[in-house]
Amino acid sequence: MRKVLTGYAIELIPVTRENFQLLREWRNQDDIRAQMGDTALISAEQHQAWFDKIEHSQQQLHYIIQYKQQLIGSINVRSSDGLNLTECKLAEVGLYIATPEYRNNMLAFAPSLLLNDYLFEQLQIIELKSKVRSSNSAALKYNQALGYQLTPIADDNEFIEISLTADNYKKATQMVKRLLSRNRSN
Amino acid sequence: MTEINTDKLAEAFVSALAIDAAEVTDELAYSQHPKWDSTAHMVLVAEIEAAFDIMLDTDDIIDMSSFAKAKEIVAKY
Repeated sequence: MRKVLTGYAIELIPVTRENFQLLREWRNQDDIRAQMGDTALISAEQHQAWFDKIEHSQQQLHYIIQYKQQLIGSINVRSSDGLNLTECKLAEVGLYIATPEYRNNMLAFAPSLLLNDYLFEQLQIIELKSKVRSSNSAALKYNQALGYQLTPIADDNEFIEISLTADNYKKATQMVKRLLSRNRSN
Repeated sequence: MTEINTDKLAEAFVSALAIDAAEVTDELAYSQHPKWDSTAHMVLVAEIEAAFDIMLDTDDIIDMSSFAKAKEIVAKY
């Protein structure tokens, strides 16, 4: 399950003992931290403990996004129903682009397309569901472009629930997939 | 690099982004103008390809983040 995924002009490289420190640097950036469920700074000890927990986990996968040899962000998926990813039906995807120039860019769709294809087509996951800050209009718009449906959460104005089925994903992403699957010029 | 028809490129931007011609300047940039979002970007690619009879590569579709950059990219084809 822990293999490099390649497509849509990028590579998703599994997080390993050699590269996991980069995630802490990114995760502690003010602009990224502000959009997380937990906005606290992550200490080196906390980060090590987190990595020890996820390194061999069968319920979550974490990747670093590479574009043209540049590491630009991170994407992950976690099982939401307590089962291993190879058996689970419901999962949650998390993404951040750490390099500002690629945040508001078509390239930001590539990691989600690559991972979602793997989850829906290879792992046969039925639905992806997560929560996004209501104030994060860019993320809401981004996820809607991927086919996610938005549902307000009762008694919670801070977050909105978003959910995606394979059908909605397929319908919403045909055009962007075609554009990001063409020949590469450089 | 060949010289391109800037007016034709500007027309493609006006049509794809549904903006006024006066807004098409070198500073016009993806996601900085409220109408240039991912959906508009996909329409823009189609408009430019039809106008210039070209097919942009994926890296150029990604790099085309401003009107100034679009001029450079189209000139390569």
